Amino acid sequence: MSEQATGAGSGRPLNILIVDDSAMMRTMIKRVTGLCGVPIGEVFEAGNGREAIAVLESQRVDALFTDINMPVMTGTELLRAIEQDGRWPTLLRVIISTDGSAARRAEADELHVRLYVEKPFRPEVMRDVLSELASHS
Amino acid sequence: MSSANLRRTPDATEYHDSVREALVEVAENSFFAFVDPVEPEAAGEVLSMAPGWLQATVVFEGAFGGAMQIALAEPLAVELFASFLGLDPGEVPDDARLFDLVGEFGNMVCGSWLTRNCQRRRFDLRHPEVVRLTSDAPPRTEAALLVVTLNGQPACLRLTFSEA
Repeated sequence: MSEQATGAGSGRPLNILIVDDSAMMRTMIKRVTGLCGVPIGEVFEAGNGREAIAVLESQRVDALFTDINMPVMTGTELLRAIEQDGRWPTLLRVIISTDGSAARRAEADELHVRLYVEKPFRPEVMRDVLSELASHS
Repeated sequence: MSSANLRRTPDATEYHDSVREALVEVAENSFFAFVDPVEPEAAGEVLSMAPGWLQATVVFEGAFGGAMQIALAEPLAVELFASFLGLDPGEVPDDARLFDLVGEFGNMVCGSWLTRNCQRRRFDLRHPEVVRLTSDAPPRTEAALLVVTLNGQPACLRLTFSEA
């Protein structure tokens, strides 16, 4: 499969994929992203890493927001799979997790995670994250 | 210090302050709820205020292993659901969404507490298990149980550790 086009350099709204095993958390993140004032295109959802891979294979996604601890396929396993696959080199990667340990953050750096958001977070944190991502698009 | 001392199983009551701090952080930042302490002698009376409970159990592994149980009075869980998603306060979610809320609340408190206590070490959280406690079997009052109120409604938390 050829590399998918992303929002990088195009100036168009970001398509985002939210990966969390909590449907409520996905709803909350989706709601907050819609209130941030940053142009957002389509918002996709997945309940674990395996579902996220399926979305990436079928949709154009610019930014990935993923939890870490999930059943079936964790966020770390998802990010490793993305690294190894090589089809999505420009995908902007963000972790949103309750785990803010230094060990986990170091692991995220190795997996080319651009931003790391600890739960709980205030809605304005998401605005800052999206503004940061938009500045790279 | 001997290695036996280094590997002793922690006493949950030693962590009550840091657990309360994590609870406050989660409640205030994500749920716009305020936590008030409850004196141990008033714990039984406060717990009896709840008509029913939803309890999340979050098992953790890593620097140390164990489980965190968080029980919320059911009307409180409904209130927190609306706060979290910015809905009308009167909106009553179905059980699936309510259980999801309580599980995520427990997940956030446990993760926030572990982040404070594990420092540089890594930990893993299992998927929260949520159950409804019958009104005739409320959480047991004991020293290890941390009882608080959130927005004036009862909540309690118990930390247990695996044997070192």
